[in-house]
Amino acid sequence: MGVEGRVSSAQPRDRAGGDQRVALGRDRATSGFAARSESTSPERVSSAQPRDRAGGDQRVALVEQPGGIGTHQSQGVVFSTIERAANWARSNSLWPLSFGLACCAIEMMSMSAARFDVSRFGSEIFRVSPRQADLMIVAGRVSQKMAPVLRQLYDQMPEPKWVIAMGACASCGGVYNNYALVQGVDKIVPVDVYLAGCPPRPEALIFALQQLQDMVKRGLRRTISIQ
Amino acid sequence: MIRVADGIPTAVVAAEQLLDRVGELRADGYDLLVDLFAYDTPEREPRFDVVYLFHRLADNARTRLKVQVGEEVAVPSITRLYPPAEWYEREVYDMYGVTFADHPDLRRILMPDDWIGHPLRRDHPLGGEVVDYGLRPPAERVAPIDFPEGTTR
Repeated sequence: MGVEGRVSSAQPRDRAGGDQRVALGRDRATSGFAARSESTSPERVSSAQPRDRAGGDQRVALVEQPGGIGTHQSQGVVFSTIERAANWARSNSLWPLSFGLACCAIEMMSMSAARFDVSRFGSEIFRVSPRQADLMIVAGRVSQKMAPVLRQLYDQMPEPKWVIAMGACASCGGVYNNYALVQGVDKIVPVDVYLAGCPPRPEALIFALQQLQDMVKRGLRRTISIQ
Repeated sequence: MIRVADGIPTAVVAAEQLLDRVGELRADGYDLLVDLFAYDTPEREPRFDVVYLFHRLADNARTRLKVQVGEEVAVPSITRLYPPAEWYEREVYDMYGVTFADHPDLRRILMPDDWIGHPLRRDHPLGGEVVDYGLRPPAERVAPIDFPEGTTR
């Protein structure tokens, strides 16, 4: 993907500039996903070096100069903020918590397995410890007895963190409209994406994940319902 | 009293005779406790039936015992004769509030520890939320469930 081609701080600067530019162009051309999702086209993230002209307003010049230091041509120079760069990085490495509650978890496992392969979207590393995860996929119905456990797991996840309510049960209680189940997981944790289905297919969960990635990338905190 | 329903001999026994009868079954080779559950008949006194189903592996014979008790009477625990009964009895206690005497660890097993009420009793509110699906005009919508005092959700 384009990620490796863009983050190029380790590359030697004094190499011939033409080679690098050719390599970059080819890389962008072959990775349609990255080119489509990032509208700022010639962005190359080197090590985030603050320049003098950036000043104290957290603006950082992300510079990869084709001809080495001193040519200062306009091509290949992009200004951004640390926040935007961090959001871009976060969105492409969401680590879900390995947390299956019911039949939705079967679809979630299928999503991460060979056929649907969520690692195409940079989110395949299911963590067993909440301290290493930043995405909670609530896959299934939450019983009243499970609710404090789920809340504790959420509290143990480091910020920033996001929640996908997968399926009807996690979103609103589903068909289990009774005393035993929490009527929607949003009663105990804040939910970013609601995904309908009983259970949703793996493609639907991947779509929810992409919606969340788009949200993270743009630094938004808003709720999305997928029906 | 011995009756035969569904081909399985069934005896209704008093609570104080239960341990003797279960001991006889144990001595008679009934080596498996298949099930232990209860049901609620609120219009009847006493309202609860605790049902025991035993199995003898040697000849696939089955027999059933029933104990009819109210809320205030403790049923003797059969945990010493059939150790797997421990969790079954906890479940009956959790769902119906029937207590078991000499049980090693009589706590709730399925519901949270601070739960109020016993959910499988017929008079326990169903809970959940009222759903209109947006089909009725606001004036005709269903009123929220009015839960009795002392019950949760």
